[in-house]
Amino acid sequence: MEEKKSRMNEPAEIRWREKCWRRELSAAERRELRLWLESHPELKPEFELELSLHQALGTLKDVSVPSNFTSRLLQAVEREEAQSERLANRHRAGWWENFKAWMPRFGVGAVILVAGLLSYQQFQIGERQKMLDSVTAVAEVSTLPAPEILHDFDAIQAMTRTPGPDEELLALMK
Amino acid sequence: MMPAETDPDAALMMRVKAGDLAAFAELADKYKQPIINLAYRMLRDASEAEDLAQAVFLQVYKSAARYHAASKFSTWLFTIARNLCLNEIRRRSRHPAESIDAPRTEGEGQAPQHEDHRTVSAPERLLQGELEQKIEEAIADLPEAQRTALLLCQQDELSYDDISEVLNCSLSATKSLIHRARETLKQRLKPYLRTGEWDDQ
Repeated sequence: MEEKKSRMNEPAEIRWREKCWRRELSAAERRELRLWLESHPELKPEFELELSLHQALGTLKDVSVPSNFTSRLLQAVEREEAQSERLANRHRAGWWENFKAWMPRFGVGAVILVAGLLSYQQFQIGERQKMLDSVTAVAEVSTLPAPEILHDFDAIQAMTRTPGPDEELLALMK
Repeated sequence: MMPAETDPDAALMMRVKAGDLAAFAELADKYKQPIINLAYRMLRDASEAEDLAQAVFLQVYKSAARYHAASKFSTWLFTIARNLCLNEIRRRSRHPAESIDAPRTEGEGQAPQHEDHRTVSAPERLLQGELEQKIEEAIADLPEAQRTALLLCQQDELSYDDISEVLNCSLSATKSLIHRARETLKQRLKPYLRTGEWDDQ
């Protein structure tokens, strides 16, 4: 029964606690809270502490703000805007400046590229010429005599490998 | 989410989006104090807090084009502030010599000049000063998420939903962070907190 009563009190306790966290209670609210606490005396010390802590936190002083804070802030905003404007301008004008700076390098690069392409083209032409010459030579082979004449080629080739004449014997016979 | 018609800050932000510097100055004037307070209590350095606040507002101006009228301005602003604070804390953790936990020598010139318009007697001022110092120390010792949640909870213009949006966590997780932060503070500050008084006035 006690437990049930305690659970029923819970929302009111939480509601009061959250009120105490946020702001100073009005006189009417304090009276109402006191009445409520009369039926929950066990919570009274805790709520006294809550209210006291709230008051203590309320005594924390504001950190002093320089009187020219806003004007300095506006100056900073203007500086920031001017800087981003400068960056945008630099970005817009930048491509032409970059182009002018890189132009000689682009020129040299282009000459090297063209020279390379021409050399490669010449090499290709030379290769094609060589191939043409080879094809022509092969075409000429087709006009040679029929392969039958090479029938005894190996025998004739072997005859050329016989020892040469004995020059000394020939000299003596003379 | 709040449309521009009902959130005057969102309406100002829409003017900033159109390049209106006067509207931007109006927003900066309104929010400079809470942002510097938050930054100071996150970084524990008054001059860095001021620089960070300026960075926050510059970021707001630069990101104006991405701002949607449907979002509440203060939530968006505090999200930017929190992110920049986290970046700064991470940067410091990479350079331990400048750590926020590094002890400061007295009279180092880093302590903020607080504005105090109240008139109190000398002993009371002394006690008050001690309490404030203890509260500042206790807040500084909280884990980052709890500290941010607690500090944002002090901002009138932020609801619990807004705080959870800034912290990028659920509503229940946000309330849990605030609860844990307050529990820690209550434990640490118990000897300094006045209890037993129940003033209806």
